Amino acid sequence: MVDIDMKYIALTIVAIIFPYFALAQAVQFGDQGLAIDLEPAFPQPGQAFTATANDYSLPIQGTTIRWSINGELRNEYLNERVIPGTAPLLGKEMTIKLEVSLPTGGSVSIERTIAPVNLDIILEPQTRTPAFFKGRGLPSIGSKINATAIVNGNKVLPSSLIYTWRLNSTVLESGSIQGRNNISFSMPQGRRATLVLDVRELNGEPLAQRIIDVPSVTPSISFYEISTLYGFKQKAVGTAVPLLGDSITLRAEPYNLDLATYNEPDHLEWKIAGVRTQSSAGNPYEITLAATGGSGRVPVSFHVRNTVQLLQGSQGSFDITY
Amino acid sequence: MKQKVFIIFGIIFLIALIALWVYLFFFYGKDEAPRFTDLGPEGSLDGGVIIPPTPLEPVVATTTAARPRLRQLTTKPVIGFMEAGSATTSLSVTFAEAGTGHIFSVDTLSGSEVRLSNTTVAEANFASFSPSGQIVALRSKNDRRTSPITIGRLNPGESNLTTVEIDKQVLDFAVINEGELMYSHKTSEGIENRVYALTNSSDRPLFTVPFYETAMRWGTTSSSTHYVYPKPSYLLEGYVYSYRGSVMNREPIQGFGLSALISVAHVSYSSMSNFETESFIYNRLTGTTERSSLVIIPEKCTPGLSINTLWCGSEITDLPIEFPDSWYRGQLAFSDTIWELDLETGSAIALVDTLAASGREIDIINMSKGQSGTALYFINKNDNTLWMYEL
Repeated sequence: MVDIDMKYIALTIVAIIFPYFALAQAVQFGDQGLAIDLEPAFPQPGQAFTATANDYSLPIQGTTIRWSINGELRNEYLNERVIPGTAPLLGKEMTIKLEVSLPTGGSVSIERTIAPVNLDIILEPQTRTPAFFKGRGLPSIGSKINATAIVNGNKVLPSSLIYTWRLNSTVLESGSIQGRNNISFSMPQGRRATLVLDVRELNGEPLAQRIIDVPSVTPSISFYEISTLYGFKQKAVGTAVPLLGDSITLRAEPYNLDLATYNEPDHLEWKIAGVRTQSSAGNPYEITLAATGGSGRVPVSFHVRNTVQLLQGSQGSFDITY
Repeated sequence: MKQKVFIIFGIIFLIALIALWVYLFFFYGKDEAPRFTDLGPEGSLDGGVIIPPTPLEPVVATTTAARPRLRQLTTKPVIGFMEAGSATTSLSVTFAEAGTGHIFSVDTLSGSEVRLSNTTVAEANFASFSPSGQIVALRSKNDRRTSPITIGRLNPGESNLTTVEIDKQVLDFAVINEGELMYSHKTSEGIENRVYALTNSSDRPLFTVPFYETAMRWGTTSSSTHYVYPKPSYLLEGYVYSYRGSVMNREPIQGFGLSALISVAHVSYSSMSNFETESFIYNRLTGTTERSSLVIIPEKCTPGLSINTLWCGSEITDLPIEFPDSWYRGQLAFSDTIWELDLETGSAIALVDTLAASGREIDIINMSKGQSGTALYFINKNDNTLWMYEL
């Protein structure tokens, strides 16, 4: 009887003491369980972000949440789980401290320093635009795209960093590569693709991450008049082109067509009034039309296409009036 | 008897009437001064005639009608120009003709045009003049992205340029002062920017941009700060970088369709947000950003007389989603008003509606203020003719 009582007493003592023991363990490992999550994970200089208190891995929930920014307690964020912020400018740091009071007394805290990094990704689609065009070409399905990453305006040498490029969840170049701040890839099917770049320091510490959309457009054709004296006229002709003199030379410019297809098209043809015509000029993208007397309106069309990658192609037309 | 006398007097009276009529019809008043249209000196008329008051500024009124503040200077297509002369002398503009590369000078007051050089640069499509207008760099082969460039010097009294050639595949170039020309060309590392000394033809690299589709904004000397950003496109993001020597820095400007005009105190830039083009003015001294009331297109703007103003051509209109791509393609054209933009507040004042003032649709590019500070010069993108607006 005494033994049984002693067992109950012992079990009761254990039952009473264990939670405190467990709590002591939680506090002991609390620094590892408490975290500040940022969205975006790597804010760029001057970029707005949110910081979220992540204490769900603690065995018990905190009673009071306090936030300090750069050493200053921010009472307006008392007991807020999510707070807004703006990343400092390049070269400056911001320290965020999260302190969680426990119901049993005591508290746990964690600090996170934000030293923003400018991770720029410059896309350079290898698609056709004419020399006078002051913009950048756009990708089209199947076209080649060059991407260049610049960290902090090249203040950090590319060779001192490790780059991991992913396109729609496919890791490019089969993995991370030191110093590989530029890469080429083909535009996949769809209206856009997602390009993700992770940059780490040589010791494996994450430095920055960037996710961007890579847009895709359909190649399109504009026609331009070429003057024998002044050369290329930079104003696209409309749907009706008047033949004012004896003849007129026009050039078809297939914008955003992959350069490989532009340089060696599988199919390229001009049609006048529906009849296939050989280009009379040396450049297959140009056609010279001459008046033969009378008057009228004749449709002229142009078609260029890659017969393997069928979406790499375009056609356009205009009417010539004489 | 009485009847005879009566007839004689009647005939005499009739003859007198005829004589009076002949006199009045043929002779009366022929040698007198005109009475109401006299343009002679004041007081030459008889007393009692009302003399209209002399207009206060009759000469100015007549001149204004003949020479409007906004006027076309050339009928030739122009690929580059520079104001010559000063505010105290007669102003002229030296320009290069598209296609031939011939150099002309046009008097801004009389409109008279003189050919300064008949040295032909075939298919010339871009020219950059030194501030004096005496040195010009020209690019030929207008359908190619890169080509060698010709540097010419005007010789007084001679019809030919003294020329040298930079035999590289030059991408962009500009004569930035009387002694230096900046140019860029492709290398395996990116776009190398070099400085060419016009005085001794020496040539040295300055910095290399680690990408290729560059929009260069060179400073006024090789040792100045130079700026670069990727060529704009409405679906692609751009960033502004600066170079001093070979050191690259990231400026706090980025955005889709980004284009920028950068001065010592401000970065005026346009970018796309939610498929709408917006313009902002970043104050480099205070780090603050103001929204601009105008869409700022760098090709249409030039710094004003103070650091806080910008002159821009702009049409208040809804821009298509594809802007600026569609404008660069020549599928979209504007009919601009010239504005003075306050870079501190972002507000703007209209100086002249070019369509109302000229009756022509003028899509302004290459806006530039002359060194005299008395006029704005620009090219009409629709036909590449040169225009000016007297300030």
